[in-house]
Amino acid sequence: MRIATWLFLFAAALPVRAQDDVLMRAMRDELARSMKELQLENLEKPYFIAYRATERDDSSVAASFGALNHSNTSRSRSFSAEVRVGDYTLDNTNFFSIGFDLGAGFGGVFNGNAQLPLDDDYKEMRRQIWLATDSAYKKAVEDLSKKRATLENTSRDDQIPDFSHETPVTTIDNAPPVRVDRAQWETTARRLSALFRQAPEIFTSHVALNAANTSTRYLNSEGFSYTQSRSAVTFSANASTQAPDGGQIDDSIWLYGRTLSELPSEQELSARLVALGRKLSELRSAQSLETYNGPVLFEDDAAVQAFRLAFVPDLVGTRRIISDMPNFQNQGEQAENAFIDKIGARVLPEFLSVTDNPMLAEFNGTRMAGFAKVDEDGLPTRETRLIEKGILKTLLTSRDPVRGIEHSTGSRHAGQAAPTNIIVTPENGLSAADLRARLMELVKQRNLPYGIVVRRLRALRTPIQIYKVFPDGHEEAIRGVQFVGLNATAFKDIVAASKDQHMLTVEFRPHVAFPTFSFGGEGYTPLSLAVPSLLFEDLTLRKARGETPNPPVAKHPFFDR
Amino acid sequence: MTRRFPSAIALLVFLAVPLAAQPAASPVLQAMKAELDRSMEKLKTQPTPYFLSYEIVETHSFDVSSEFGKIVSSGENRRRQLDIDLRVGDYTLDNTREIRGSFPQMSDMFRQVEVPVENDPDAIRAVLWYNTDERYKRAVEQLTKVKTNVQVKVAQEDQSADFSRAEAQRFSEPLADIQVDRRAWEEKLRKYTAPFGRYTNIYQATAFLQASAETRWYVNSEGTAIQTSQPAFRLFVIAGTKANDGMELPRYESYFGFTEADLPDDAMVLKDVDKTIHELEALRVAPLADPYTGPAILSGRASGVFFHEIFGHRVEGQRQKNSTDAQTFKKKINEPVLSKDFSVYFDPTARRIANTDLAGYYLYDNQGVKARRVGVVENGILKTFLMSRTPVEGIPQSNGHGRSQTGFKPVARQSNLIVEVAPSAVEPDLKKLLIAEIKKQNLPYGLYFDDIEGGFTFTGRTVPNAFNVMPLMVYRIYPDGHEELVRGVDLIGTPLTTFSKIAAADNKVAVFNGICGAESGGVPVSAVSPGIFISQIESQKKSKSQTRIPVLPAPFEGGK
Repeated sequence: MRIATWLFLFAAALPVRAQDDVLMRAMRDELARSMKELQLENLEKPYFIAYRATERDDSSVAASFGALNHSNTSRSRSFSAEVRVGDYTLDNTNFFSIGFDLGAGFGGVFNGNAQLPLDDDYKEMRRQIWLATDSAYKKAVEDLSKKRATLENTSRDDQIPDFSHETPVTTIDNAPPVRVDRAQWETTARRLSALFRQAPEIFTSHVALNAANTSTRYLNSEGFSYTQSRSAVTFSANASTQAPDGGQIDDSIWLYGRTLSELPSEQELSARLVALGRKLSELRSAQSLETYNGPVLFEDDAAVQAFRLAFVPDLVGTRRIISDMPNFQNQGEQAENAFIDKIGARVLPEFLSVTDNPMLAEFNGTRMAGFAKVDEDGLPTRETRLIEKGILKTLLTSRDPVRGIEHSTGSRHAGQAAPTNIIVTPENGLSAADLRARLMELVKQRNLPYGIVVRRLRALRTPIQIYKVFPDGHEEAIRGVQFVGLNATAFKDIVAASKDQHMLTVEFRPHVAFPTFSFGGEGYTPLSLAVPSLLFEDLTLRKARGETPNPPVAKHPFFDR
Repeated sequence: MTRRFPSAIALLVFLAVPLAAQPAASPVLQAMKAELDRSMEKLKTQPTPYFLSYEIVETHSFDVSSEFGKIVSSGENRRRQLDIDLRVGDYTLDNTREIRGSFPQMSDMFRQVEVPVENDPDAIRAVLWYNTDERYKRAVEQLTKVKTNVQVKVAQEDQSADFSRAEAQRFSEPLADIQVDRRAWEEKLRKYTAPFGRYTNIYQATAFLQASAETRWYVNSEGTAIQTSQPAFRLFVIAGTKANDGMELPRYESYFGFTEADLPDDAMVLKDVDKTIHELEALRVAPLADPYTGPAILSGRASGVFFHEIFGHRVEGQRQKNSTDAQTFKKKINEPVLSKDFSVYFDPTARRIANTDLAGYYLYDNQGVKARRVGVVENGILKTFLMSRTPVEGIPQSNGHGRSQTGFKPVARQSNLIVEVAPSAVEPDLKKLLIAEIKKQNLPYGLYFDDIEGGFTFTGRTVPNAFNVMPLMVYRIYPDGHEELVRGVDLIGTPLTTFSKIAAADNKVAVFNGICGAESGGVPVSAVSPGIFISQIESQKKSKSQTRIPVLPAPFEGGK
């Protein structure tokens, strides 16, 4: 731990020197040697190699019902080598094949991944980097030959290159690490989780605090390099109950900060947990409905979640993946994003524009979590105007080009192209009251007895807080309903938006067409979104399908006294 | 079903853990008992459970690992996990019966439930309550399916009941928590793998310490309440090289003991490290073995694994019952299966043999049944099977071998397998027997299996009923007595045939400590055996990696 601390402080205090630490030196030397000499007889040399080493220390504390479930820390240094063989036009990537060879890796080294020692030692780091590069190279030459063989037997209509040319830069993006007082976190977690001792209708609950300090060093054969230290602190909680008819009711809280001070105070967290428990309890007595076709207003949090879940994934450019395995070819074809064919076409109403802006540290006084100077390919980040007045302009891409988009938008996060800070800007937005009035107008026009407002949504099909709104203004909570056909296409028919945006930070996990094993990496990237409330003219809701288990036979032991 | 049996041996100093007077009942046990009683009471109005048990296992572990002289990870962890056995129906027919012709659901086979690590009875009971309810609903649903299945399908071959009665047990031993000086161990582990660092053709060199204290609390509706607490220290050294034809050549050394002091000192580990380095070098250039049929000697450790695989797994009770198992030994009770000079027993109460702690030691199994010594083969005659609380035809009771890793359902599993040989079959110099045999059969050489990595066996009906033992160090022994190391040998065969060829044993009893993996997860086991002579074995070529050695030389100067 002492070594990690020292390294972080060093990196923060003398950022320029950090480029030359022992790990960076080992990476640089092995990369130079591999580019020059790594070649199997009669096969090609790599044309591109990138190394990424990530050191991380984690602290994790979890509790339920007033007692700790666990409290621990861990530290690791993971390494991955990307080796490309062929050329920028056609190389070993964008190809999926499963080989079976017992010896593809030795010990911890596998397909370019390795664990590096925590002790700083030039020679031992070189050893692991050497073996990881060797395994990645062997897989690359094999994949390239299989890919060429596959392409020989098929005619392909697209000639999209496999890798984009970009201009090399060196970036330093270091933030000081977070220091966790774990004993204090344990006390906090116990106290917060004990709040559910006052919520007799909640069946299960769980509270967790996590902190991770990561420090990444990146280097590639084109001259890109970066060092990046950052921290992430998260608070998460969930609670569940069942309605008297058995219907499952649960919700969760996920809060993200770059520093401890970005998380709300314990007092505020308490208030949110109490509110979470109360809301779920209230929902137990809510009724379901058979079907509904008509206007739906997504307010605040629910608007952000609907946009993030149904629309944002389509703003990421993904391409077809070639496979030599017949069973996977269809899946490979489907990996291409449907929005590629909509560039230049309208995908939202004219009064909405969307940008992704990783340069934005704050928005309306709130910290944006997607802030980053550099992406995982070492490219400087920049603002990408994705949708202007409803028209799709481009998609977010990494250095794997997609049809029609030749260059990276500097958007590789969590392993592939991903959004960072998404801002949806409305033109002529309405006040909250006017938007609500607009909903009721539509209800009246359609001769419906009520309209629908959604205030909380976690999975696309299953809203958590959803209400019938009657012409006299009163509301009735409903539960056990699901949306039908709420997808990206539906957003084209939004009829109005609020003038104020609601801000929310979520975990974004890019869709992976063919998951492969790799070490390290978060698997997610924090995504901040600012989205106005959205009024849809016509959506379909129906009673949720499927069986629900009966409610518990015995009462919760704590409240059965 | 594949089973691996990774190696482990320990030659250690004896330090007994004294059993103190019974302490006051643990708050965990009290909370479990209270919630168990309440559940049985509350569930009475429904189709009533006839049996309910809770097991909470706390693992306090210290894990440190090094590679090539440098630390790669070091951590400490404490967690508790819950297992519930809830049964509706009755002892004869309940929800756990195999539903023939349908696939078992994953969540019925394995489920991890986290329990607070603090002794807060309310927080613990909240978890017990919610999970009991889930299990209860699932059990009711399963029982309906079981009853239909029984009517729809043909009569079951094995008419035994689903669950046996067991005597209520009360036992509590003091908590045996451990503290490990991780800084000191980091230093030791650096030292253990540093010698490998000089070599450019050793591609893996890892040493790791797994120290843990496992505390188990068990209660059931028959009145059993148990608290056991047992530390275990395991040290592994694993290194590997590759031959020029791509074959991977690993070496494992492992050490086991119930206390930290039972682990060997630095000098001894470093001596083994040095030996490992020399063996790797020898293996790398050793000739490839050809397929072979003929006599062989198995060292005590190799023989232990051999018995564990070819015999031990086939005497696990439930394998005589499950309709998809081959049931090799089912009809052989009271019949000879081995030479009359050989006996095999399983003794979980044995703590130490041949100056070595035994990993398969325990006082109560995971179903709260008291551990006991079970004579499975006596003077060559098969007497019984290893039993959990799942009866098989003719054996209605458990003999304390219902075992599982937390999260899995207990089934009959091995404990400490011990091979005993009558003095008349002991031949101190097995090499002499081997040479005589190869001369008789006019063979160019015989084989000596010195060390074994582990093995696996198939006991099902849908795959060949065979075993495979993966040796690490195998020597050819020539008629003139000289020995030659070979690589790439797998010892294969079918159980009954091979068993009948075991002819003699020496007096060098050795212990193999390992983790055995099967349907109820990984459980610690031991195998204790003298070296044995088999008049005929079969070996095949090991499947090997097609990946070449690294393209570039190591990026540093190699040592001698």
